[in-house]
Amino acid sequence: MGVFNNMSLRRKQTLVIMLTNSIALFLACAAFVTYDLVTFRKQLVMEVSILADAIGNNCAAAIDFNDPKAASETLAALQANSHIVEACVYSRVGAVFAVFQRDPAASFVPPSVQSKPQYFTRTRLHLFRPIKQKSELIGTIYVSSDLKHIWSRLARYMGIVALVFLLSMLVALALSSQLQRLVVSPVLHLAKVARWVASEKEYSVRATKHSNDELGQLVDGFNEMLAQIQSRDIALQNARDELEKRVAERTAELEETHNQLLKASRRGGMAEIATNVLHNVGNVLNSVNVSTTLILESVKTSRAPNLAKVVVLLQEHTGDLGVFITQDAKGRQLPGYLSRLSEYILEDQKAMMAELDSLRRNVEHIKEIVAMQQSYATFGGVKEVTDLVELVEEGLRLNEGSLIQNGIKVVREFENVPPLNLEKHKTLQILVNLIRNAKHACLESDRTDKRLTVRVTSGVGSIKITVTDNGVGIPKENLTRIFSHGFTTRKGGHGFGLHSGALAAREMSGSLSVLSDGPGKGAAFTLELPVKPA
Amino acid sequence: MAILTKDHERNPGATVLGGNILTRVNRCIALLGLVFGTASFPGAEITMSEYQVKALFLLNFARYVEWPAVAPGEKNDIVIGVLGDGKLGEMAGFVKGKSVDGRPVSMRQVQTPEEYEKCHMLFFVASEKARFSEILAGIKTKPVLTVGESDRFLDQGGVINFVKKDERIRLEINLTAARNAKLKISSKLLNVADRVTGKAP
Repeated sequence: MGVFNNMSLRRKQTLVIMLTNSIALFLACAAFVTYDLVTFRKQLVMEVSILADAIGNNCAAAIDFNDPKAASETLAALQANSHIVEACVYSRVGAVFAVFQRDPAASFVPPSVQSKPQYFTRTRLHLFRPIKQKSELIGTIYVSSDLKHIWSRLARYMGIVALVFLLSMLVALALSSQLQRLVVSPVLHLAKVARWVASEKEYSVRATKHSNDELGQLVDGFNEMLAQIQSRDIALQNARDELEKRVAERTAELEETHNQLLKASRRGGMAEIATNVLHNVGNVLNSVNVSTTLILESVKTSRAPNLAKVVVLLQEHTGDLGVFITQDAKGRQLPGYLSRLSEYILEDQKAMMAELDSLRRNVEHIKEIVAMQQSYATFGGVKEVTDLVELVEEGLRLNEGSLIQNGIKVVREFENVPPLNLEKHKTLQILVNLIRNAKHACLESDRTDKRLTVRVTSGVGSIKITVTDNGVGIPKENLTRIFSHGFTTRKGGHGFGLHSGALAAREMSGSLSVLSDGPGKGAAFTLELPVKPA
Repeated sequence: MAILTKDHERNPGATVLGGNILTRVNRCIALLGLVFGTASFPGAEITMSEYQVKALFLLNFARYVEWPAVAPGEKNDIVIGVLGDGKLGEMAGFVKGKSVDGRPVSMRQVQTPEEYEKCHMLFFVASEKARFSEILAGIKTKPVLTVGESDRFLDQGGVINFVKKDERIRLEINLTAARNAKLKISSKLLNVADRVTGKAP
């Protein structure tokens, strides 16, 4: 069966046709030949029987009148039939009466009389017939015929069968190639299309339908399947395209949202700044108001008008000033009064001076805050090629007054760095903040050798500006939140400088970091800026 | 044997039971076997006597000869008459109780012409030679099968004559005489005859 499975459909069909054909033919021939042989045997029996009856009948008188010679002569008539080999006539009681044999040389022992009328051996028909005269049994005749004509007939049949077999095979072969068109060709076509579809992944092809039978249904089913796959493919492709489009849209939306968020956050940042600034300014304005009120009160309650009264009194008594001061009751009190008045006025002046000083400081503070707000109001600043050392110097210069005034020593350690393309104003703002913080740290410390070091170093792909002080230092727990918005340790500080500085550094793709060994051990702030090849 | 079996079956007088039939039949077979075997093949132990064979042949003639419808004789029997002395006993003993074609056969001594004419067959013993011509002439046209055993018996008008050749009994037939007697003799019988004279009807 394995061989048969591996055969092509074409061969299988041919084989099946040939096989069916040959089996049918074989059965038909076998039936025909068998029938013919059976008939032929019957016919043979009948022929030999007639012959035996005739010869036997003619032997009756010979038996009756004891004439074996006559019987032998009668038997000799069998010579005419070439198939009769042996014959014998028996008397009533079964004794051999006369014998015939075609080949005198052959030894022939007549068989004893059998009860059955005839029987076949492989090569012979043996037949016994009673000899009767006037319905009386006279004797028995035995005739033996060979079966050569049966065998020769069989051989002829075999020849004919073989010939018919050959012819029918040829016809079947010819027919099978015709039938191929009907059955196998559509299948082969289908197989070819299926193979092509499988190898090319091309689902738009269709098998051709040739008939409305099961093969046609198969082709329909196959085409239907292809159509489904194709439509599914298209749907899938569409879904993928749609998805890509939607991803693109969503990405655009996200970008938009991102931009909006960015803007919003910037606006938010500005609002934050504004809030803080206004808050701080408000606080300071409170102080300003208090100072102003105090000064106003002080001016209102000033004893200066009393001095004017003294002056008027003195002018009235210009002529007799001496008398007046010495004689007059009022005049006598005048020196003491003036003395007290001057004391009051001096006190007032002193108090007002203090208030004015406070006022001045507050106003200065406001100025600072406003300046800071202005610096952040401009974002997305313009980049320009900047000499970093010069920028550092400018930052120092802005704080120069207070640094000198407070006796803080400034140390400069600048490496030679290339000019950088950066947002100058933003960077300067960070630097000013850092320097100011360092200054404050120094001021808050009790030490006498207050020192501030500014270092510019160039690293791999970046430039570092480090502002180090030997001031109060930063406790470890504060290091992490020092850049948070609103965090400050300073009285009057608003916790904005470092926060905004860190933000600005990040906006410039840089970073702001801090190092401190702890309280009283100073701190080092480092601004790191990337070097972008111009 | 078949003859005897049939005879017994057909004869209403044969009041025998099955067992007896068998034994009788067997006996008959044995007897016939002996008779025939010895008759056919010389050298067998028991031989039949000449007149026993002739009696058997006479019986057998009945199967090969047809008598005209107005045949002589009594009832259904076949009557064989014997002319001449001395042989009847031997022959009649053999024939007794036998039948041919369902007809019982009887054998008797005959003397007068009336008696001759009632016979189907008439056997002329050789010793009566002198009277043959006269008697034969008398029954020439009667349907009687005349059988003799003498030379010139056919010439005198007899139908069948027994001749002895090589210790075997052979037949001679005169067809003219048979025709005159209106007897039809089967060609089978003619075939086994040694000599056939006269013309067929």
